[in-house]
Amino acid sequence: MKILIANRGEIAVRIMQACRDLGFSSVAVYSDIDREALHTRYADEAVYIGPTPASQSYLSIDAILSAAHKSGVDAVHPGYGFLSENSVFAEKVEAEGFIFIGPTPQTITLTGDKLAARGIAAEAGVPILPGCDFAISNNQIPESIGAEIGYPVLIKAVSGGGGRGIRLARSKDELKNVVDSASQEAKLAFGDDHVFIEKFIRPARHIEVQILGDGKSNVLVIGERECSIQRRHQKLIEESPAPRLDALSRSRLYDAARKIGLALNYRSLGTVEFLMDSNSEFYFIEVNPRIQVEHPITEMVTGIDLVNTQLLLAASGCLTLKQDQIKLRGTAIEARIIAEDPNQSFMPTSGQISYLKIPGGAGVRVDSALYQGMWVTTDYDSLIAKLIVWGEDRSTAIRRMIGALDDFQIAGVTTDLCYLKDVVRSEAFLSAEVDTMYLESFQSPELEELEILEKETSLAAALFIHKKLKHKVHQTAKAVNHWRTVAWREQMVGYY
Amino acid sequence: MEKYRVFIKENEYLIKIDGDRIWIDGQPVYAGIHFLNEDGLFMIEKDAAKREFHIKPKEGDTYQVTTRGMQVDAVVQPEKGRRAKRPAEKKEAGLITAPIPGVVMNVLVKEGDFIEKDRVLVVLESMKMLMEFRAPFEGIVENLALSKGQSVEKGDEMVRIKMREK
Repeated sequence: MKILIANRGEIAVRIMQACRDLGFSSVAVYSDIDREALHTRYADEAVYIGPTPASQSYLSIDAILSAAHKSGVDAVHPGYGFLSENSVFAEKVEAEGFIFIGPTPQTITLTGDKLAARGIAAEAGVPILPGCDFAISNNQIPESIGAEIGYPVLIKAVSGGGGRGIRLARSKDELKNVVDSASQEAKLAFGDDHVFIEKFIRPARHIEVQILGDGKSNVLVIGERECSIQRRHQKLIEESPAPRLDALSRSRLYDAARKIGLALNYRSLGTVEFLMDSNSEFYFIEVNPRIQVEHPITEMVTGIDLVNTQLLLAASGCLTLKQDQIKLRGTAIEARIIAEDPNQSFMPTSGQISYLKIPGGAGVRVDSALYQGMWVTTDYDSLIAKLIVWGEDRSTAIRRMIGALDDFQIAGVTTDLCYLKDVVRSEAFLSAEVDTMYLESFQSPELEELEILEKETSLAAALFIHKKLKHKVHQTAKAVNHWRTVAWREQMVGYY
Repeated sequence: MEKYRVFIKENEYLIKIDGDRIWIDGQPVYAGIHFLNEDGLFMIEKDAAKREFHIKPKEGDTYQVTTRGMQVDAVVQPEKGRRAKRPAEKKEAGLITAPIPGVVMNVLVKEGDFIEKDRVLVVLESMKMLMEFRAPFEGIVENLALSKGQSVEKGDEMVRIKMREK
């Protein structure tokens, strides 16, 4: 089997690894700026699809389809983001004779319409949040809506998802403006300005359930993930299994997810997302009809390679995995390393990676498309790597995460590495008492050990400059012959 | 004897080096440096511990220093006789520039407007996210260098606010 991966970055590399495992060939696609990107070199073949802006390359259905024809593939994997939740794309892929590795176009259409998905959940007997069951646009807000549901409320894009286009309104006075801006953002991000209203519950935990279906009324539940550590509805740290979740609530969640999977006659991998309040009551939010960023933590606790399973299912149409073969063991945590500056309200950053040190060792996994010398730009998503750890128990996993975050070094572009460590070490995270609003008020603590480290860093910087100036060896001097390298090194070693 | 002033975040450190003797803020330390490669990777040996650092020159005398568990920008200034000055804020206080390329979604003020602190001035769209730029202080919109729908590059001037004279 030959598979085209209609994506870039770490997820493209991840899917290509699965292709290698199974002896399938892989085809990468790339835009101008990605000519040298890791995913293009990782694949067996690479096809150019257009200019750097995603709209002319990774989001161009025509460009991807023509690449699929050109390379003569059997199947197309969309990854996450880009065209993964575009039902027109899925439909065209299938219409042109390729296997679409994902749910049916009908499922993507249904789950993409957040109001329709609400309806399906309600019909399947799964609890939904109080809210309106109709779309609002052109700023026509029913007078009584806020009062019926009770403030605060969330305004969400009907065609939204992935945390985009969600706004909070605390009172009736705010509602009109918030609906305006949410609708504007929705139009921009999804090309549809319709929004709807749901009650905002707080404190709430975000817990999601991994499902896998064969499209023939068999739906497996493959554990859950807690993703409450989010910033502006974007997940930053995920964990499996969800800590402090009692067995009864867990089995009720699994049942609810299975019901939704069955109602959709689900095919391929998917995730059913829920919010859980402080009384362990949960509510359906949405279905993500694709592989998710945080899938590795499920792989680590179940020992199941989700992408391999997904590819085999797409190739054969049959599920060999059985529900009673799925058991969770230990705890896995994922931290998302993003090119954003936590000290400047998470503004996207860019730069050339001049030094890279990727952690490893038992129970440590890094999914990334990074390499030394790579230019990180703001053209695409800011996610540059995922650090995943596994431990026999939660505290081992956390210690492993802290150690691996320390080991992970990326120079040349500002990332959230230090911030992630502060969050993982915080009291609330250690005791698993976090909700989806935790990061909104989180402040990195001033630690004594950091002061000591800062002092040492000042010494290191001064000594480095001192030696450089003294020996007039400049950073820019590139052409150094071997003799000089050795001589210089000997000069430098030693105490003074 | 040579002196270096190192600025990291809000802190300032004075490092004195005299042959093989080193002081940080007057405290003597015993430390050695070993270069691990020529791309800025080196090791500091201090007491019984060895620690790896990577240094990358940025603009002027600013260096990005990366080590296990920390990444900071350090300004290193050799002191030549007189006391060096902390690097001045380059950015003009009332000048708001685009931090990344984007498209102007909305302009909520016009030139000559009196605006209070934190008033939203411009909304920029970049990477499918809306970013609001607010007034850093109370004042008058002196210059407005953009209009709705226009695209901006990183560093482009967007709005200039003149502080209200008391």
